[in-house]
Amino acid sequence: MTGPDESHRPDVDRLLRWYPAAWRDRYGAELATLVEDELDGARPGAELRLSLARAGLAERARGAGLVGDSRPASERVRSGALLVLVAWAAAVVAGGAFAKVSEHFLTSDSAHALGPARAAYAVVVVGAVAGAAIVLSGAVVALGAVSDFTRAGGWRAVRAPLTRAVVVTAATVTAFVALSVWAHRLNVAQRNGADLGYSVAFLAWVSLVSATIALWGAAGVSVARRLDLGARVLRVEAGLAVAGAAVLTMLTVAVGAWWAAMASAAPWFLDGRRSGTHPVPAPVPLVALGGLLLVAVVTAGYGVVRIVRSWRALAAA
Amino acid sequence: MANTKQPGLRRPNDPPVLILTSLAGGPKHGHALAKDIEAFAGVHLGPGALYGAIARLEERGLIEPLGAEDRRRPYRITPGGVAALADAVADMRRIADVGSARLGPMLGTIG
Repeated sequence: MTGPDESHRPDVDRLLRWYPAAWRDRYGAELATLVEDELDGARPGAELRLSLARAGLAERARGAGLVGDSRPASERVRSGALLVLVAWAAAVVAGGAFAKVSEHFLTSDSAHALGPARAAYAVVVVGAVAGAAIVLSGAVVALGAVSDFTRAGGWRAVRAPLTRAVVVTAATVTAFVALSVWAHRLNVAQRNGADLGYSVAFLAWVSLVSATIALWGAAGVSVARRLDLGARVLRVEAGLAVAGAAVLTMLTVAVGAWWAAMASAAPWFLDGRRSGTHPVPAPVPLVALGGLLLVAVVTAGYGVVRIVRSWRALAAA
Repeated sequence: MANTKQPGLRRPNDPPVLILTSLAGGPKHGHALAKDIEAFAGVHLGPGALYGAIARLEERGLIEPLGAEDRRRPYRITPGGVAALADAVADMRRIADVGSARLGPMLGTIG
């Protein structure tokens, strides 16, 4: 009996990179052989590549406890809580954009006309503070487990994501200092779009900030997935996650309410034009941050569903 | 003992049902499984779907691996897998019997 054609071996091995390492260790060689048997010497087509990517990502999601019930209830609950944390990381990026978009909105019209917008803005601020408190509480509750993890040398497993986060944070801080020095040499108009170079640099810095938040979120998830959380701590984390998801939903609704109130009272402010004009009250930054918040709410909602569905099994354990 | 009321063993074209049915005829490796399933069910299971289902079935103890031959590893059905497949087949037979009984008079009038 002849073996499969090995000419596309590296290609086939590359197709399996979508699968988690542990899964590849167990089934990778068999799956690669099956793929080679099916290809019978031909090159892998787009359909095969796509189906393996989909299957590999599904295995990753399953392995992380994000789908299915093959992982223990405790891991499913933890994954649900971590989804809420990821949703909050996205919300922080959106929140930064909202802070910029809503800057000086109180000067756009009379205090009476802006009453509803001001109320909605206050709810956004309360939501942001509550969200920060919840995320911080989650970190404090897990401190004991983090200490045990570090003492056991577990930091080696998370060195790569932590290093990435630290390096990008350093780059963000350096860029912020340079940008601040530059900004002090410009007038208000130049700082708000008249100077193309500064605008590009500002957008690059915003991208760096987003990357920093994303990388710290990823590092947090990487650490949290490895912690040995007791059942009680896990229940507290799950409760905090549910509260965090509720606050995130409230904050998103409040941003929508602020947007609607401003579109009604001072639409020119949303478009950055002068008072009295009638622009379309849906500028790109607001649409983008609104979309990001909606994605965050859906993600957090799915996390809560995972927690609630696995809660009974966790309580029984 | 493995739970025989397995989720995902309810529809006749579910990959787990197809794999267990194929392995009920004897141990097979991935490629032989795919060929056999295509022959008796007319369903082509892609490599990703096939191995996803194999992993789940092994996790539930319904199939088990045998020693690897070359780079191909055959699998065989376990007693738990036999029981789960028997349950699934009984369910499908019940539905098929009801369907046949209800279709009988209708097919008579059409003929």
